[in-house]
Amino acid sequence: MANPFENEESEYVVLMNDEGQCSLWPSVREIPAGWTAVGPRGNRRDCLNWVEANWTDMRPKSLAAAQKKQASK
Amino acid sequence: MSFTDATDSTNSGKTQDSLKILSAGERRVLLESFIATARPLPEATLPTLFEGQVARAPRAIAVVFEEESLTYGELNVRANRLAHHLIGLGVGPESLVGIALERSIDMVVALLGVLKAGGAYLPLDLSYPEARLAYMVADATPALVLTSGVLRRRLPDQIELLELDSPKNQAAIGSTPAHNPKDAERISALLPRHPAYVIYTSGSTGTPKGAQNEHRAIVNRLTWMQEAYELKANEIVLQKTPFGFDVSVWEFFWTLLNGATIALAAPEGHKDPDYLIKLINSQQITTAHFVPSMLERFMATEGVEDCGSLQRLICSGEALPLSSVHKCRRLLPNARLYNLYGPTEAAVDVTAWTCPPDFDSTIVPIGRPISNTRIYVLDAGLEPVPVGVAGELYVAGAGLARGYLRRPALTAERFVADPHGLEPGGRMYRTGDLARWLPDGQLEFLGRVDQQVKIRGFRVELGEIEAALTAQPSVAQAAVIARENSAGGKRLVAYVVAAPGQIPEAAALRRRLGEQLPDYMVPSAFVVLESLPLTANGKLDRRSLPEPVAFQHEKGSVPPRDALESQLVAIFENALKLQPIGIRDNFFELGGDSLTAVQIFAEIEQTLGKRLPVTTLIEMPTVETLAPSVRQSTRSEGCGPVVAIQSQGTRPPFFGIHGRDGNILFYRKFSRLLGKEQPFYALQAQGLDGKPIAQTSVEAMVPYYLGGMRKVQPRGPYLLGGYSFGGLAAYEIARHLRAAGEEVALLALFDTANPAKPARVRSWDKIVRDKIRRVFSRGTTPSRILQFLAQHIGGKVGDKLLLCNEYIHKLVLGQARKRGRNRADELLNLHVQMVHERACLSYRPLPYPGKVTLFRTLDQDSAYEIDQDLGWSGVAQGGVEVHCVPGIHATIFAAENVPYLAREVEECIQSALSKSK
Repeated sequence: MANPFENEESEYVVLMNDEGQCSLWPSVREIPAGWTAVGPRGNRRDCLNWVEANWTDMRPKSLAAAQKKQASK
Repeated sequence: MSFTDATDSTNSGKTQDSLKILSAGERRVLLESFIATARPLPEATLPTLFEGQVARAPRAIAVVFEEESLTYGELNVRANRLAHHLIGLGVGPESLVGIALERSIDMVVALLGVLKAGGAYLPLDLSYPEARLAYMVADATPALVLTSGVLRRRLPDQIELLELDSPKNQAAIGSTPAHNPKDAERISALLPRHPAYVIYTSGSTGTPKGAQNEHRAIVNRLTWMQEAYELKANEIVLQKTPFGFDVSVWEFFWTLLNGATIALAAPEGHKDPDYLIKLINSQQITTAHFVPSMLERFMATEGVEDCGSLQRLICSGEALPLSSVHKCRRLLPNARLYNLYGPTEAAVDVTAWTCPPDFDSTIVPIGRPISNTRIYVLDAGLEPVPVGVAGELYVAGAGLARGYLRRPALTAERFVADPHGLEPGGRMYRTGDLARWLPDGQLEFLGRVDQQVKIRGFRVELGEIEAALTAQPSVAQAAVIARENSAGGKRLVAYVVAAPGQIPEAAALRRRLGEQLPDYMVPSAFVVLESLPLTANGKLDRRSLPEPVAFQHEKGSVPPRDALESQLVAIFENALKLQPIGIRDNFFELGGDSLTAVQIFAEIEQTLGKRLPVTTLIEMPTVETLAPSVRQSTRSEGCGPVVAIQSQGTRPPFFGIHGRDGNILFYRKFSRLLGKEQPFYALQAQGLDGKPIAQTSVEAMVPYYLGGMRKVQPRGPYLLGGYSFGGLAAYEIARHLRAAGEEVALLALFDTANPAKPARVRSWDKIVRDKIRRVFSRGTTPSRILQFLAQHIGGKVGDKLLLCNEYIHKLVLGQARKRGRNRADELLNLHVQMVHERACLSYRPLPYPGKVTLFRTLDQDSAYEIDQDLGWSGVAQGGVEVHCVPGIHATIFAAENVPYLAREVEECIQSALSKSK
């Protein structure tokens, strides 16, 4: 079934939110609020390779901040 | 019943404007009123909530297991001591601790201990196959694994273990403080966004991956459950779900956070309805969960109507059939029935339905979203589809997992930006499930997206056929799958379990379904089973459904027409243990596999004096097609290396090279999984026809294979690969192709190590034991053989290996003779295998100017030291792309593993071809 995230022929971008989380995203679609395009624009595999290489810490950023706050208490 | 297929009506890339179909009002209903679930989000962790409950009622019974029980106070102290011990070992927030224990009080202590230390737990269900456990441990790399002295043997070596029952550890744990660990004592503070558990899920395809779930998400789920179901402190909840399945999370923690009692079922008890009925009665259990397949068995068991203590029956994990709802209401009228839905990628469940007292619908919904959860049913343009229309189900909100453990790319493609969220920057998880909204705001589950198949060009929903079957009075349970036949077409096979006292008949079922469904949705075969095969978690195991043997006979078998055909029929019948077989019946559809094929050819040789390569069966799978070749074959005329497994398709063909024993039959299933667009040619070894092999080195074999390949495909880009020894041949062929100026788009090695890698031999004993284990099932003990070898064999390791092989083969033949079976194939293979063994040992690969794509197992028993790229990076100048696939070396193409492999290879082919264009 045609899922917009499963098309090898389509062009994609990589989005990131304030939590540092990444999302594959079809480039023809409007970028949802709170997300910014980062990394490459290209085929699916290239985008996912970029994510694999760059999203190295999967902890949400708000957690890291909360942790720092706790530690400094 | 058929749904407008909104998801299929768009071409990717083009935005489809469902918006224009949906009025603003409808859109508001779908994106606002149906999913208005916002509640205050509890900012807490499992340990703090549990500790709060302990303080409120420390003397209440927390857990009962057989004769043992613990109060909340006792359980808390034991968990605290373990937690302090774990903290001392370095466990804290963001660390992962495996738990490999059977269901027991110790398991509950371990779960709480890990969480209190601040860590997340990784359940390692010891009923899983060893290879799967090894994969999970290698993939998740837990800091340590909690186990017992007895159970540790079932775990892979080389992991950090903590035996909870060893006297030394018991003493150490017993001497730690008994109080609740405080944040100041932990490695760092435990926060609601820290992970609580990682549960592995495989879905229908793809390698298993660990969904990492946070405290906040599971606390939200449990808070909702208490608001909705109001568990009282005097209630008893059955804990029977294997802890590798996320349903167990609420069985444990909903109970423990609310002061009720967990009654643990015995380790294997969850599969035994008689035992469960006894347990429910003896413990006066009020709440029990069932996967619908298991519910069906439970409801069919004598005495179920006496389970009067049951107040809640909670179902999830599979579609709940209408017939089960009626059965529950009839047999257990005092129990409320709930149907829940949720992927492992969210904290257990995201929607819930309560069966109303006056239920009279024909649809069993999965209900509405739970607190702080938004469900979208979207089309291919990511826009909501109207009420009543099928679309893909997406989940957003507090329940979402953090993602897949250490799989950023996979996480980014499944957990995607939410275009319909209330807050900016939110994510939604695409479930791969199909659903639709009902007018009252409930959701109906319609099956998996990938369970949609095309039959004769029509889109078919298997779940719809299953529902039509279970609506028949003679059918208790049904499963429908699409099987591919030898011609590459698909046909539907229905598996049914009879209702008590009924005998379902294929003809009657076909007629009844024909009255309700379009003809392309009526299965072409019906198989009656005693019960449907279930996975460890109690769900239907589609992969284990047997090949339908009944197929051909329904069509009426065509009898043999001459002496040769009747001899062949007799040979087929004998080997397949099936009568009568007609001359047009397909060997593979009758359930034949490579072993039976070998048996048939050995028999042909013995009774008819004709020797044919086993692979003849692929191209000639019936007696009718095989007979002329047998007739013509005076001696085998050297049919060349190429066997066309799948000659149709538009892509460049894939060439798959045989394994060590020269056989290529195992590629059949693999090829089928690569799909109809991918032509597949196998290259078989020389010598399978009994003739001596002329070329005995890898380099010298190349022209033989290359000649065959070029006849099929004169110019590149080439796609090729080989399994085990075949990988070396593939590598050498690729080198030659490149030297001749050809393009090699993909060079795939299936679990092949570079034999030139110096430290390749792990240990002599291990190799021998391994070989012996693979060749024998039982009989001679390995130690006896080792003794023999020690006495009789000297010389170098390589020679030992060969001699050992020879020795083993002699033993095998001896045993075969004792059993009175003709195993000429063993003799035939011996020669082929020896040549390959020798060629492998002497092969020293030279540099290759391209990329090697390696599909390797995590075979702990392999003769090779575990080394990420199996030694190829030294010679592959274009680099090595490593894909870890399930199974061990010998089972990488086995039915349970090959779908994973095929999917990975398919992706590589697609990517290779897109680059080569």
